[in-house]
Amino acid sequence: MVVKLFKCSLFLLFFQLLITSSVQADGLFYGNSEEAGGTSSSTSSKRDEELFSTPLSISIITAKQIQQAGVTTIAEAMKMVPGVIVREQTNGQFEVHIRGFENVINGATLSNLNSRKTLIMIDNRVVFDYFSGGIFWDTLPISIDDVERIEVVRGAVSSLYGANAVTGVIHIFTKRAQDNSSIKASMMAGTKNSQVAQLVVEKRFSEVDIRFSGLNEKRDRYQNRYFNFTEREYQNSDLAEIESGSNLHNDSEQAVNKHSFMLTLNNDPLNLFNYDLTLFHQESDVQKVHINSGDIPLTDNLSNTDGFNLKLNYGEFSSRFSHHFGKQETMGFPDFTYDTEISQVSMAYQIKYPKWIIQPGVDWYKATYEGSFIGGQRTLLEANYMLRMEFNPKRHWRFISALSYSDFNAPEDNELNYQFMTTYQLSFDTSLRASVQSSSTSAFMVNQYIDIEFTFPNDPSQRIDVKGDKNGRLTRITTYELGFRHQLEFNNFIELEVFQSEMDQFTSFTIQQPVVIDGVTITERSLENLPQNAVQQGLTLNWLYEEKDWNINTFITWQNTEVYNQATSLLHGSATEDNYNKATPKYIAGVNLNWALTSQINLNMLSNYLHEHSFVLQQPQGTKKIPSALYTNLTLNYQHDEAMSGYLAVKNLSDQNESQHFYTDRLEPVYWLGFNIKFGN
Amino acid sequence: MIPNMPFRSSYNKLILFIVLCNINSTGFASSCDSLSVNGADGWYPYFARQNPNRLGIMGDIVSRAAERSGLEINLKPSIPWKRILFNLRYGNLDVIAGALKTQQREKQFLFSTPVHYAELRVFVRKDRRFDYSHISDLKGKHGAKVRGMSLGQAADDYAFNNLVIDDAPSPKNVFQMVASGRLDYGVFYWTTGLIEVERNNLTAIVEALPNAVSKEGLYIAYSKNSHCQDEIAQLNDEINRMKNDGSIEAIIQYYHSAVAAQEMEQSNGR
Repeated sequence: MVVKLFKCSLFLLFFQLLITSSVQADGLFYGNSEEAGGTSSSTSSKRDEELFSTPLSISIITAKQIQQAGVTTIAEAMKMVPGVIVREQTNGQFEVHIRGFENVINGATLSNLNSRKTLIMIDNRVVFDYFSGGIFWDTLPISIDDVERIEVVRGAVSSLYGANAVTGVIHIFTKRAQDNSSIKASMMAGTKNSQVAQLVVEKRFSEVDIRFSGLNEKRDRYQNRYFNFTEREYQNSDLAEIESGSNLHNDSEQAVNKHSFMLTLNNDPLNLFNYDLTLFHQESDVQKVHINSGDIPLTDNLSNTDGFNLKLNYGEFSSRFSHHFGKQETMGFPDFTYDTEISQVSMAYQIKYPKWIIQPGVDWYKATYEGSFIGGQRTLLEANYMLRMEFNPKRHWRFISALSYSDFNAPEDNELNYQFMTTYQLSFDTSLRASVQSSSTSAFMVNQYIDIEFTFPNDPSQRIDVKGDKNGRLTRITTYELGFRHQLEFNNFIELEVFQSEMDQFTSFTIQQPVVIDGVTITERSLENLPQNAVQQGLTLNWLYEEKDWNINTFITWQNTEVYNQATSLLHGSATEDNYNKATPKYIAGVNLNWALTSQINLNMLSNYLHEHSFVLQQPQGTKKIPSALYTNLTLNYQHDEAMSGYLAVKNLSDQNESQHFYTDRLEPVYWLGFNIKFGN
Repeated sequence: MIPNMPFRSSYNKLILFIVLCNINSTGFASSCDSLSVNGADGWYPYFARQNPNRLGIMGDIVSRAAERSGLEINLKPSIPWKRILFNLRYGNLDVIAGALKTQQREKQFLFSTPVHYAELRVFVRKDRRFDYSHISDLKGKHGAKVRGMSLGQAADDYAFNNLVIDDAPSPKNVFQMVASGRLDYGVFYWTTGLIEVERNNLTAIVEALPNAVSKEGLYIAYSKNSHCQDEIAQLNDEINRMKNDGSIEAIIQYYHSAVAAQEMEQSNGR
C-alpha cells in the first residue's frame, strides 16, 4: 500500500514537473489531437473524410510521429496503434495482429501463429501473401522513411478491399516528391550490428514529380542461439542445426539483410486526370517464424520481388493496375521454394447526389505460384463486385451499406461480405457510431493445393502425406461494434469502441490414422473443416491530450475470447470442448508521450504492454507462456536546421528479458544513433 | 480502513504540495501594463503584420480602440494559429484580433459582438462561369468548400438538401480542383480567396462570381484567464463605441478600397 502511494505521488510529481516545464518551454508546436479529429482518412470510406466522422475504428500514424518515436520499421510503428498486438521475433522482424484471435486452433503448427487475418496495402496495392495467408513484412519494398502515413482500420472490411480484411486493414501511404530538387541521406546505426541507410532523391518538373528512394538494411539477431523444441532449451546454433538435420541458415547471427528501391512518378493528384506510377524492387534474407521446422522456431528466408503499381484517375473515376513477381525460398525446405506472380486490377466510380454517395467498384486479383509443394503451377483468382452507399437522412445522421460479392476459382463457393453502419453526430464535439460487418479470408496455396509426400531421410519406413482441399471453406468473421468519439476540448480527445466478433468456418490439417502400405507407414494430414467457432468481446479506450509543448496518447484494449467446440487435438475425430483463448492477451496497452524540450530538441517515450498469454502448439513444440511485460523506447531527436537532424534512441527497455513470440530471440535493449542530411529544396 | 495514519498525513501533505504547485501562475498575476495581441497569419485583409501601422481590418480595430482608450498593446510575433489559441486559453495572450466564433471556442474564450463580416463567394473557372444570384443556382453542379467551414445556417440547410458540395482539406485543394475542371465551383471567403488564387498562380484561370453566398461574422476574441480583465472590458466597450460612431466602417472601407486597388493593379498586368 505504502509503495503504491509512493509511486502514485512520484507520478503526480513527475506530471506536475512536466506541466511546469512545458509552460516555461517556448518551442513552436503543432498539435496532435486537433489533427486527430481533423486529419483526413481515406481508408475507412474509400474517400477522403475527417477522422472524427469515420464510420469505422481507425487510427492514423503520421510520418512526424514515426520520426519522433525513432521507429525503424513499419511493423514497429504499429506499437503506436490501439488494439494492435506487436511481437518482435528477432531484431527488426515483427509479427502484427489486430485484436488477436491467435492460436484459436488447438495444437496447430508454429506457422499458425502468424497473422493471417489482416490485410496490408501499400498505396492501395494489396501486399498480402497467398502462400498460407499473411504478411511478409520483410518483403515490402519500402523503408520507414518512405511512409507518409499509415491508416489502421480495426474491423471486418472485406466489403471494401476484398478477402482477408478479416480483423482489419493496415494501409501504408508512401511519400511523393515535395521538393523541387533535393537529395536526402539517412543513416542509422545501432547495437547488434544494426545499420539502416537510405538515400532519397526528389525532382519536380513542371508536370511530373519524381522520387527515388533506396534502402540498405542489416541487423544481427539478439542472440545467435536457437531454442531446440525437443531438448526444451536454447542451444548454440551449430548444435541446433545438427539436431534439425538440415541447413536452415546462411548466417545464424544475421537477422535481416535487405536492399530495396522505389521509384515514383506522378502528376498533381488534384488534376482532373492524374496518374501515379511506382516501380519497386527488393531482395531480402531474414530469419523469421515461417515454415514449421518442428525443431527450431527461426528459419532463413530469402526473397526477391519486382513490380509496379499504376493509378490512373479521371475525375470521380479511379483505376489501379499492379503486377509483381519474385521468388521465395526457405532454407532447409526445398519443396517450399516457389515463384510468385500477382496481378491486381481495381476500378471504382463515385456518384454524388444531395444526401447520397454511391460507390460501385470491381477488384480482380490473380495469384500464381509455382513450386513442388503444389505440384507445379497453381492460380488463385478472386473477383470482387462492390457497391457502397451512403445516405444522410439528416445533416448529422448517416447510414452506410457496403456489399461485396467475392467470386473465387477456389473454393467454388462464393462469399458475400457486408458492412451496415450508421453514424450520428450528437453535437459538434461528440459522435456515435454503430456497425455490423462481415468478412472472409481467401483461399491460400497451402490450404487449397498442397500435395506432398515426405519420407523421413533417416527412417524411410515413415512417410507423411499432406493434402490440401481445393474446396476447403474460408474462415469468416462477423463484427458488431459501437463507437464513441468526444472532443472534451480542442486539445483533449477521447475515443471508445466496444466490439463483439464471431469467427467461424475454421479449417486445419488434421492427422488421419496411419496406414501401412508396402511396409511404409503413411500418416496423412489433410485439410478438414473444424466444428469450432470463436467469440471475442472487447473494448478499446484511446485518449489524446496535448499541451503547448507536450502531448500524450494512451490507449488500452481489454478483450475476452472464448472458443467453442474446440478440438482437443488435431487428430481426426478428436473430442471437442469449450475453452478460454489464452493466446490473445487480455490487456493490450500503450503510451506515446512526446515532449518538445526546446524548439530543436524533442523527447519521445513509447511504451507497450502485453498482458500474460500463452500458446499451445502440437508436439514437439509444446506450450509457451509469455509473461506480462512492458517495453519502453526512449528517443531524443535533435533538429539542427531544416537540412540536418539526428536522434539517439534506446529500445526494448523492460524488466523482462523474454521472447515475445514462440521461443524466438529474447529481447534485449538496443541503442540507435541516426543522422539525416538534406541538400537542395 | 486507514492502516497507517502518520503516512497518510504525510501523503496528504505531499498531495497538497503538488496541488498548490499546480495552481496556474496567472492566479498570482502582476498588474496589467499592456494588452498582448496576436492574429492569424495569411489572412489579409483581416489581419496583417508587415506594416506596424496597418494591421488589417481586425488588427486596426483593436489598435485604434486601444489608442482611444489609452491602453497600450503589445503585438506578439507570428506563431502557429493553434499556439495562439493555447496562449489565449491560458492567459498568456489577451486578445486575438479576428476569429470566427464556434461553439467550442465559446466555451473557452470571450467574444466581442461581430465587428465585421467575411463574404463567402463562388469561385469558378473563367471559361466555365455561370450566372449566380442565389444559392439555388448551384443546383445540379459539383462544388467544394474547406472542411468544417460553414456557409451560414440557411445556406448550410439548403446545401444539405439540394447541393453536392465536397469537403476539401485546404483552400489550395479547392482552387486547384476548380482550376483543373474537377469541380464546377468552390466556395470560400472572397478577399482571402482572391489572395489564395493569386498565391497559387491561378489568377488567369479562376475568378469569384459577383454575388455573395453568405456572410460570416468576424469577432475579437478575449482570454477568460487574462489578468487584464478590466482592460479587456474597456477595450470591448470602445470597440462597441467605434461600431456606433462609424470608425470601424471607415477602417473596413479603407481595406476594401485597397483590395480593390490591388485587384485593379493586377488586372493591369502588374
